[in-house]
Amino acid sequence: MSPLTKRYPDLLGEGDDPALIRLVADLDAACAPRPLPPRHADAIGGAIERQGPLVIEPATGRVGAYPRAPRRPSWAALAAAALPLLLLFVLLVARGYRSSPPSRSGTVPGVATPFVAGRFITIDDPKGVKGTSYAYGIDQQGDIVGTYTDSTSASHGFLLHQGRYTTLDDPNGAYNIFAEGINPRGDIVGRYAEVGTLHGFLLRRGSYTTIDDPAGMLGSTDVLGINVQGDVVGSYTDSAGTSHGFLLRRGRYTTLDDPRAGSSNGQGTTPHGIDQQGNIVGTYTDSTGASHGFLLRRGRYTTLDDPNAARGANGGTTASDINARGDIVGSYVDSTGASHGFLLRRGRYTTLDDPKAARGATGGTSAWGIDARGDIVGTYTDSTGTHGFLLRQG
Amino acid sequence: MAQTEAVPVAPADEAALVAQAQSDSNRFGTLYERYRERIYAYLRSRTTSEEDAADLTQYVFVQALAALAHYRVHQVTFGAWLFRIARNVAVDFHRRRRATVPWDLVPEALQPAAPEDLATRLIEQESLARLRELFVALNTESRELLTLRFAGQLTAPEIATVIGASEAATRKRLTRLLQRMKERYDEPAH
Repeated sequence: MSPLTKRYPDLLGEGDDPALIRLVADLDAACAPRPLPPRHADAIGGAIERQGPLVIEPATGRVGAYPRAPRRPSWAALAAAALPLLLLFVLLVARGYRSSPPSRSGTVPGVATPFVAGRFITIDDPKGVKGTSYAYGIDQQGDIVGTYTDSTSASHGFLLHQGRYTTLDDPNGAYNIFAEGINPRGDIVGRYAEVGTLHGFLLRRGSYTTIDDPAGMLGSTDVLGINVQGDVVGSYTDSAGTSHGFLLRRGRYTTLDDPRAGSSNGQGTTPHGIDQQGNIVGTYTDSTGASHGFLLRRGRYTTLDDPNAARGANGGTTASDINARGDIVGSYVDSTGASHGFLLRRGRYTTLDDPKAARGATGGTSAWGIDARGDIVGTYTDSTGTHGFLLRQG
Repeated sequence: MAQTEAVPVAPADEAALVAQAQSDSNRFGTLYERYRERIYAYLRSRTTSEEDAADLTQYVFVQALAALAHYRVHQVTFGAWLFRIARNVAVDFHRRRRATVPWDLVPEALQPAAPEDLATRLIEQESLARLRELFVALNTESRELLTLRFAGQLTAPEIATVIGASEAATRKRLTRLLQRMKERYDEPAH
């Protein structure tokens, strides 16, 4: 028996067609496991030996093997950092703390305020492994949807209604379900994964409907938001790896592309939320790889950049949801790599940091959904993993 | 043709290694050494860079270590359990990035940007181009079967566990898939 037949006894036998043997041999060679680049192997081995800490940047989803060492600021750096704050203070005084409407240039410059009053309540689905719960959407009744991962590593959606968690599993047996949004009628949208593909879904009155934008590669549709009229927003990916947004209204798909979005692999437009007026918020990645939030209102795209966000591909802003009052929530990544949630209300950005979140690039807070009353859901990451939160304002 | 030999997995041996790691996490290193290249190869097929694949590889093993107490040998082999984590990590990665990898589930050596030296070392250019053509014409379901079998070196029952299908159906799909590919493999490249 040849070594190849020994390795693939289920595929090859003695006296097999030489063409099949050649195909299996070539597949074996092309797919053969190969060593990790040494720098990665060392880093991974070290991290496992230490058993963490695991480095995750929640807003970007980047899982980092290389924790950034905290930098000790010099006096010169402190002075340099203080100068913009001083200028900001002077600007605020000069403006009399008035909010700023969207500018004609298509960018909301925004003014940052340091905190928001309210109470953060942790949301951990008890059926999930600790540190695997994500809260993504909330409706005006206070029902919350999200996702948790069980001990077999399968992800399930959940609906949290009046303190009770209900698991959302596709009856077709999809391995992973992610519940992303809910409207006041109780319609839930999200995505499910099966055998390497992703499909959007709408769960209405107990019945699941698959949503695949026909313009995208099959299995690349992601559904992220739904409003009270049942209009759905999401994204699909084309064959070049570029993301395009879509609006699905009364059975008709409309493609949404922010004109500032890049068109290379990993770039493009991703709408996340839609309100009852049809205003849409989301994210676009420009040609430099930097992420920006956007607001699409009456056909016009306005860029949303939290003033605290770092510029460039390692920073950026994501706009996640908008409510009937026009309040927008999202997340930004600062210059240390840490993620923070934000609330944009009447032109003013307010940072949202769950006090239980770990500091720096290993922790952080992201805001994903807001209801008509202004209650916000999102996620924070601490040393045990990621947890959902509900921020009740007032 | 240069080739890396896959580490043969003896279930009894592996069960012992897992039991040791469950009682003493310092022993997890042996399992890590055994699986890291296969996990990396699988994740490399699902990402666009070495860095992302390496980061996810770390994440898979740290998750596995954290969940090791929940693992039960008699329910599923360790390899299938680990690849199930890897598969979820890849799906989660795509979800968080809000992006899809255009060459998802195509082995690194067959991706267009594969390093030239690797390609020439692994296989002759003509065959490489032909394999790439065949791979990208497959649906993701078929690509994943091949990636798990050849890059992950999983057996059909293990693949069945990872993708949530029956063992018989997985065997049949693999066999039919290779038969179809074989017929097209000998056709001239376009």
